[in-house]
Amino acid sequence: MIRVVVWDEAGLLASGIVTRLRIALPLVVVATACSVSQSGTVQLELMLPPSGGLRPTGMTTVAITTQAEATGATSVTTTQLEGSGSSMHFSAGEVAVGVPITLSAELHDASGRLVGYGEVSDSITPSASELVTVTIPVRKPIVFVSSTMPVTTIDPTLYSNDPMYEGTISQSAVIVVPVDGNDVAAVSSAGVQLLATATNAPDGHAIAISGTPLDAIAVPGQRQLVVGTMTGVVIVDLDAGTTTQVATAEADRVAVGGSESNGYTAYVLSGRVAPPEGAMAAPCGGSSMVFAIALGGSKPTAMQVSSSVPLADLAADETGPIGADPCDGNVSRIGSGGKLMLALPGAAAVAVQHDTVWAAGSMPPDTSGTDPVGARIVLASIGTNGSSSQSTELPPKSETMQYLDDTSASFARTMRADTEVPLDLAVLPTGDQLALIARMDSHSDALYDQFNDKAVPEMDATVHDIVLVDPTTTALTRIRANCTLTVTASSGAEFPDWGCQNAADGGALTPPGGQYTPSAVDAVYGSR
Amino acid sequence: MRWWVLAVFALAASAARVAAADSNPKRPVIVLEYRAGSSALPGIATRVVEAMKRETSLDVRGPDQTRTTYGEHLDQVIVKCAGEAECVARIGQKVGASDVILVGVSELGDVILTMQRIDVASHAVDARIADSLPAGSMPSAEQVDLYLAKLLPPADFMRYGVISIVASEPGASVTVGGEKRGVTPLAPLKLHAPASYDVRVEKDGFVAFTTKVRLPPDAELKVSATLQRPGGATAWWQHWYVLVGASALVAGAVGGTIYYTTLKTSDHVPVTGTLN
Repeated sequence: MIRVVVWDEAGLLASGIVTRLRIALPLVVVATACSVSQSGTVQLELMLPPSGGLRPTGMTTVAITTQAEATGATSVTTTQLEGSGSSMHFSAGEVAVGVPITLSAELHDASGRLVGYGEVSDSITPSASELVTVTIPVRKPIVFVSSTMPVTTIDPTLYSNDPMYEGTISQSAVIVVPVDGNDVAAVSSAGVQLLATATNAPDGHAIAISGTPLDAIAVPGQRQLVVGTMTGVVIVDLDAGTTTQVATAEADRVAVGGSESNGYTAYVLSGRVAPPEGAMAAPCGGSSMVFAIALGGSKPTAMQVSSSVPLADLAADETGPIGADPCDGNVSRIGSGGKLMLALPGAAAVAVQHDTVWAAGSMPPDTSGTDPVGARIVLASIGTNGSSSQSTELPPKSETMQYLDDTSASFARTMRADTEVPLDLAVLPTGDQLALIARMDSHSDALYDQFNDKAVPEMDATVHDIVLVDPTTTALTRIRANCTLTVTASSGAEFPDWGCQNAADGGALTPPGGQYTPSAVDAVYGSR
Repeated sequence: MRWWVLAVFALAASAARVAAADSNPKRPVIVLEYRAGSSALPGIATRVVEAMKRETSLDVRGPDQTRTTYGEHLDQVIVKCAGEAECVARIGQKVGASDVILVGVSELGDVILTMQRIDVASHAVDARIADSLPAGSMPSAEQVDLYLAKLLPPADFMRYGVISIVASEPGASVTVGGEKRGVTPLAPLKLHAPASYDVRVEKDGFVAFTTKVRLPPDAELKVSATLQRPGGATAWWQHWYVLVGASALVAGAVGGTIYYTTLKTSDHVPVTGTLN
């Protein structure tokens, strides 16, 4: 960066030097006239939680991303952090004057791991003559997992063997969704409760909502929440504490698309078609409806935009809604819109982050060869313009069952997944990691000995995992949230008592507060 | 204040807390005045109305406004009610209010000021305060606010945040939300929250500092405005000897200056940052 020291007339006049140095003035003025440039600066204040486990630590570099509001042109400047402790600072290149931009900041540690992220939705316009200060709340991208138990948290900036990697907060929620850098919203039948991201503690009073919530999503930059309920959606103004109900059918999933300039639209998926769970499940089929609700008007109403296509999940971008069809195995735009078609077997979860669509599906088990493998999750991504599709398979899913009456734990049976279904997907900021809830179902027939006596009884296993995965390397961390084994007709069997293997022996973590059935996942600054 | 009044006050305060369940912070509330033969504390109901309008989010209607809806016989009905909650609640019911604040004034040597919050739906007194005031005195604005704080659920009060603006230079003019707030050093500003405010700190001879802050409710936000001289440098160049030296060099440097300034893209500004 070239820095030009500027002597401008205002400064000279203010200093009174002009009157004292009349001889020097003409030359200085000439030089000033020739060399006048900018004295403006964009000053970023990255606001971190003051203390505690939620404050990012170990950062050594900062990456500042600027995106031109008009063209979408993106520039990333990564630079070393200087200073230490509370006096860390940096210089991050230059930005064009007069061009409105949005900003985001990433903090990385020495190994390149993302330890903090922040962004501001409001654009700023750099000025040639003024100091423009932008405050960006920078947070750990904490993952929130909802279930019938209090919400559990995962700190993806820590190694999984760190005792603080998993935690819990006091709230129970159907889902916890990010609102902005300062707040997430915990949505439950009791209402919408904002939680401060700096502390994970309640921020203000809960806002009561009518109906049983099923899903929720924030409207970008609006401090507004769209909550899907059993009877429609509730639009919640988080600052005013007011709610507006819009009747549709049951709103299983909600998404928000559009833009600030063209207005935002909420999309509602009603009649979610889940992919088959278990070998004995009925074939995939059904029909769904998608409704659109233009936000911002005084009396929003729902308009049906699609019907009959079976959908398991819904997301949206600037152009419109994008659905995951588990039966035909694809992710595509709903209704009219740009070209986007991503072939993905068992597509059941979809999320949009910036200009990338992420989705999760599953491959069926392969028992044809000599080395059969279980069903497995497939992760895929594609640009919102329909280009650059990629997909990757996670390892085949299986779970080991242990014979319980053998103290040496030498008798075990591996149950390969008949189905491994993604239930929910969240993209962590920057897309470096995905958070996924998956459900495995597996059945194994009874085994008989040479005398046709039952040796091992029939078993059915259901396992819920929370998986944090790097989609580039497929390096993953698995938390086995629960493992349920049903043993049928075990009496008379030679080996009657079976149970799920210790999760740690299978390379998985366990929830600190005991087993639970996860239902939704999202993250601070995350996308769904 | 007499001991029994203190006891009533304490009881009333706890009652208010018990009654502080979540309720619509914009519900209609009427304020009525009941005088037991006393002319003390003139205009007290009006002051309560003003304070409630100023400090809460409630849809507050005073006695005059209520009379317009209820009818001219309102005062007679209040007298007839004689402070009975059930009777007063029926007034509220008729005008569509959710709560009634009944301000009572009586004299037992001292002036006794009582305030009750009556829930119209249940016809019950949700909170009550009483204070004993010397004859001829008036409660201060702070006292009225204190009464209301005891009487109303916390959620009824408008929420504020505080912005403390500290500038590196004294005498800098501060504008917040388009409104001039004075010059530095400036006392912390109590502002409605949540809200976004444009902050501008300016002083002649310095680059104006501008920022936009989002003020959460009940939060204290500190804005540190470091005013820089144009160019961002310290005023080393203001020393006369620097300028004399510079003058001698400038003539020869002009050509180079022109070259470099045209080479440099003058339409860019640097990005710097801090971690707080």
